[in-house]
Amino acid sequence: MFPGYQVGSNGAPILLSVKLGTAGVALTQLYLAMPAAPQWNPLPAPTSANGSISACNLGLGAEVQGKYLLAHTRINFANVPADLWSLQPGSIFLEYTLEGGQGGSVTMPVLPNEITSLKGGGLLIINKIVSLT
Amino acid sequence: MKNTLLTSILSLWVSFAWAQADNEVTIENLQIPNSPAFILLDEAPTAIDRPATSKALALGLIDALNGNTILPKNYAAEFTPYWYFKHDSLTALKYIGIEPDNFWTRMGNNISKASVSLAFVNKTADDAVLPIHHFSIGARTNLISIWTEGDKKDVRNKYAQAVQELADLDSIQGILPPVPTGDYAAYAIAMQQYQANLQAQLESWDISKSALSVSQIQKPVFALDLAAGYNEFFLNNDIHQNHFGRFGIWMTANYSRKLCKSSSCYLNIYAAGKYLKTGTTLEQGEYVQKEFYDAGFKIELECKRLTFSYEYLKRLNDQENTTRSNGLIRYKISDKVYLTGAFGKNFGDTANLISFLGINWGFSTGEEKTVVP
Repeated sequence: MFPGYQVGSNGAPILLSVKLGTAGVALTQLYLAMPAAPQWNPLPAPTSANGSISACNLGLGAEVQGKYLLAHTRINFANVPADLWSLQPGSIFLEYTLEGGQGGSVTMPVLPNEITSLKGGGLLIINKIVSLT
Repeated sequence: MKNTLLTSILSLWVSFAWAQADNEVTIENLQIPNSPAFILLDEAPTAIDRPATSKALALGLIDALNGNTILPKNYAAEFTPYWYFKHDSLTALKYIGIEPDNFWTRMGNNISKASVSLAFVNKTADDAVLPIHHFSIGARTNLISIWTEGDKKDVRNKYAQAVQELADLDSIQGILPPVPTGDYAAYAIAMQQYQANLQAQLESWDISKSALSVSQIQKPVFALDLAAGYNEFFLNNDIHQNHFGRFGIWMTANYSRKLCKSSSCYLNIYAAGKYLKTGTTLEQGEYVQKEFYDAGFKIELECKRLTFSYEYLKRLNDQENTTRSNGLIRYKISDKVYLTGAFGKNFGDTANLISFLGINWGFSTGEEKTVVP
């Protein structure tokens, strides 16, 4: 099962913050989709500082209830010596905080099975999917 | 007994670092770091060096090819604790060292990346029948790195290009995972397919051509580094016959400039100062302690695959007025293999020949080597 966040059906905006600490060059993009939708719908590009996002408004609780949220992060470690690449999946700091819904403020860590390592560890693609209920 | 204890200490320490690194032993990991623990014992090919790469873990074996032994007698290990902890505010520009703007915060960040090294070396003194076993521990760090405003601007521009390169991956089909359907079991299979497809879709994406790759980052115009080491030695294979060997603390200032903007040729000039206290001199049956102050310089021309350098150190308060003077040539055969030769004179009047020729399995400093005596 995907981790869930109880947004409720009230009119409060649901906010997502992504806190990323990494030596690599990073970019995080956010998407929403109804279950079994043909594709993800991108949210307006949030202000991203090396992959971190500060309180991005996902929409009102009633608007996003029942959807899936995807926080998609790409990290390129070309600026780090290659002998350090294998350590990076374990040394990045990545947390997602949702707030504004009935669930209050909930912080979720990144899980190992959400990280895809490519190019010998030089490129990580991280997909955090959260069910908004 | 002594061998067992020291080997156990080294093994435990290396095992800890190795477990943290979760790495298998590869030829790239078996390298001799030019670390403070080795420099303190005069076992490194150069006495003036700077921590160019903060390694996760580097292990070294030397004398592997030394005639009478099947197993290497000398061991070294170096690792950087920084990489075994998470850092919630770390960014690419902070890692490179041009952010934040606050000087003291940047210095603190640099110090946090200090590396720790150990060395276990067997030496035979002129007046000793049995080998003397040395155990040495060291640390080094960059204190200050200064870039020109033009270089900072260049790094920031390359960072912006690197972010755009990541955004451009949107054009790759299948870069996003499939949208969940509600059937978790089916989705788990779809995700496995997604990850396998990613490998194939990104096959032609060349990470080495990234705008902010290591080779594209300008070296700081000025850097100040600090290193220290402590050494004990043991006689007659007896753990109780331990003696203070050496303590040293040294500082290296480095000026580095590209010879021309479009080339990858650098001129590096180093100035070094060192305090050394030794306890290895035997006088009337007793080991006596002496203090030394060394000062010197190194000039290095680094051009593509070839590096030439010359270093000179003078022992300032030595009655014998001794110096260390040697040259070093390094040729980069490939990204991970270097051919290194060093020749010159070490401090003192006896056993003072510096002579190295060997293959390095190195990453960036190229100073890691296997010695062919």
